[in-house]
Amino acid sequence: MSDILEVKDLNVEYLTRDGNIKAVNGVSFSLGLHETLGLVGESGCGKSTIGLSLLKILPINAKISGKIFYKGKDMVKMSDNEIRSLRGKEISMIFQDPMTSLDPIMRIKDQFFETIRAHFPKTEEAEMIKTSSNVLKSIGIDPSRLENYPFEFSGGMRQRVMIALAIILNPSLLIADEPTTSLDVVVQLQIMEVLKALKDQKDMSMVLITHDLGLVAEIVDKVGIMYAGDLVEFGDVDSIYEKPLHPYTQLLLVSIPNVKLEDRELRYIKGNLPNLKSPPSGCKFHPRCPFATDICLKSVPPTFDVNGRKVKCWLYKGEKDDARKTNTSVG
Amino acid sequence: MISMEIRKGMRGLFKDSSGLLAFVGFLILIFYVIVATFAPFISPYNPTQPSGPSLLPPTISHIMGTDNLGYDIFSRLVWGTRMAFAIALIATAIAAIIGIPVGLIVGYIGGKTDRIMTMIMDSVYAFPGLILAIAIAAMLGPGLLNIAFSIAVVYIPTYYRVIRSQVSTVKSELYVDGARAIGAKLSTIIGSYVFPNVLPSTIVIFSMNLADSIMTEAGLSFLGLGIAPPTPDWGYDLAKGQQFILNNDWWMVVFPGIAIITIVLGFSMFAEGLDEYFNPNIGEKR
Repeated sequence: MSDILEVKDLNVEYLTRDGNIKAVNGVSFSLGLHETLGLVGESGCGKSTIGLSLLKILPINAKISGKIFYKGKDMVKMSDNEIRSLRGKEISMIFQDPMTSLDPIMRIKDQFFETIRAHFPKTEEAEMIKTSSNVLKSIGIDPSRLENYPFEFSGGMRQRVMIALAIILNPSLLIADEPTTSLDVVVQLQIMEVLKALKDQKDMSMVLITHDLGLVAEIVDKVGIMYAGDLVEFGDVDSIYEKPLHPYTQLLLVSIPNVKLEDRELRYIKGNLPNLKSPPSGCKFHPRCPFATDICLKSVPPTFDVNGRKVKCWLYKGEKDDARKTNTSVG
Repeated sequence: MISMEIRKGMRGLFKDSSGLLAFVGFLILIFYVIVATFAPFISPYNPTQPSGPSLLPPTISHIMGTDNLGYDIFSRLVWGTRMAFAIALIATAIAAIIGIPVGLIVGYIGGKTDRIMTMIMDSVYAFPGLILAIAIAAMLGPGLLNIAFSIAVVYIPTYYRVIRSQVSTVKSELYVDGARAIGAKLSTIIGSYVFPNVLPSTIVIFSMNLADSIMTEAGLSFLGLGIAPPTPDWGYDLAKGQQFILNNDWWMVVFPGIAIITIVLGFSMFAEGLDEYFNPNIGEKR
């Protein structure tokens, strides 16, 4: 399968007045056609930054380096105009908060029209209405709601409108940045159903950014676990859920709330995400890692290949004979 | 049907005193607009020619009296309304046309451009308005456009500051990121997403600046930097009347003074009402 997206050694730094923050640190992964990738991690570990990098809509104080190949072309090197012609048409994005991601004083209709016109400026209004109605129908919203303003929709409906906006031009890659975070559980499920249906119906690859391992299990093919800007584990969803390799992934899986547990205690990972302005030496996870050894303190683990999975942890040094360094990471 | 709607709207308007305030302001403005529009029919005499004995107190034939050159004060006030509106509108329009786009673009781009531009605008803003206007007017000389321009310079920073600060909040809204994510051009983002969201605040500044610029214009004319006489102008009439106040010729000062006060009051009250209408934070209290 040819890869639609290949990210190689992506680094994103935010330049701030009191020091630079490395939000994404040498991340590499690839995504095949029609595949869905789940990027999972705690808040502030750089998942959203990766999502924004894929569209290159990072804030102006962000410095990006590395390579992002979309259909074989390096997006990092593309001109602003080239990138803009991709946004919305080839790659589109669903944002975290549906309450604020629609322009409050624009009718839904006009937001659809703006999207279409941004790429096909001469489209007739009748045609735009037809396209918008169809896409709204496909996600279960009555086309008559096109005349409404965003405030006339509930949170879940707004998120659906956002999804409709994102898929109206049939993009090849959809980035969903925590699409269900601010919604309640029932609506979360509905949105996931919509996304799943999209995945089945359309020829679309998806990057699903989330902090909820459990929620995405059903729909993703590959999972990338992020910690403090590092991609600590990457592989097939089934193998990761069955046998998590990285200690962080293991702890993350244990922390999924489960009411069936006898003590009904919420499990969590002790400690906090490190300050990215001055990350800990060696492996960034070592202060919280139950298996930390001396080497973890001293040097940054490279990414090891273990049975086709990538793990950034010293535990897997020499695990397999053909284990090789795929990425000598920068500190 | 329509009368029902109007009645409902009126009831909403008079729910509290601020609605009444806006309504009174609106009436005053309408009154002056009518006066300005129909000046040739309302004024009984030619305002730039003597029409009777000089320094005549108010009488039936000259209801506001005449000045030292025998000009009819009522006619001059009626025609002066046009001048007041013209200068206020032109000055405010110039200020808005420069201040709003600059505020939008600089606010959206941010960074170094923002810092430099804000510094320039702040230094203009730091000047006392009238003094700056006097300096520019003295440089440019009299004339309607020159006066309007010197007043406009004073008010550009007002637009700039309000728009810039609004834009810097709006631009971090998710829907602006969303607009970028759908591939909208920079001009589309600023024009269709950012500008409509900051528009309400500009309307309010616009009407408040109209009031201010009438005051400034009257001040400039009062100091002899305004429109060249004998063009009818309230500030100039007021200045002229001031010379005769010690002779008890009160009518030359009182009537232009009342005109200036009421029109400024009208604009201010109207601005207040608009603010009430457009500002959701105030509206919630109702």
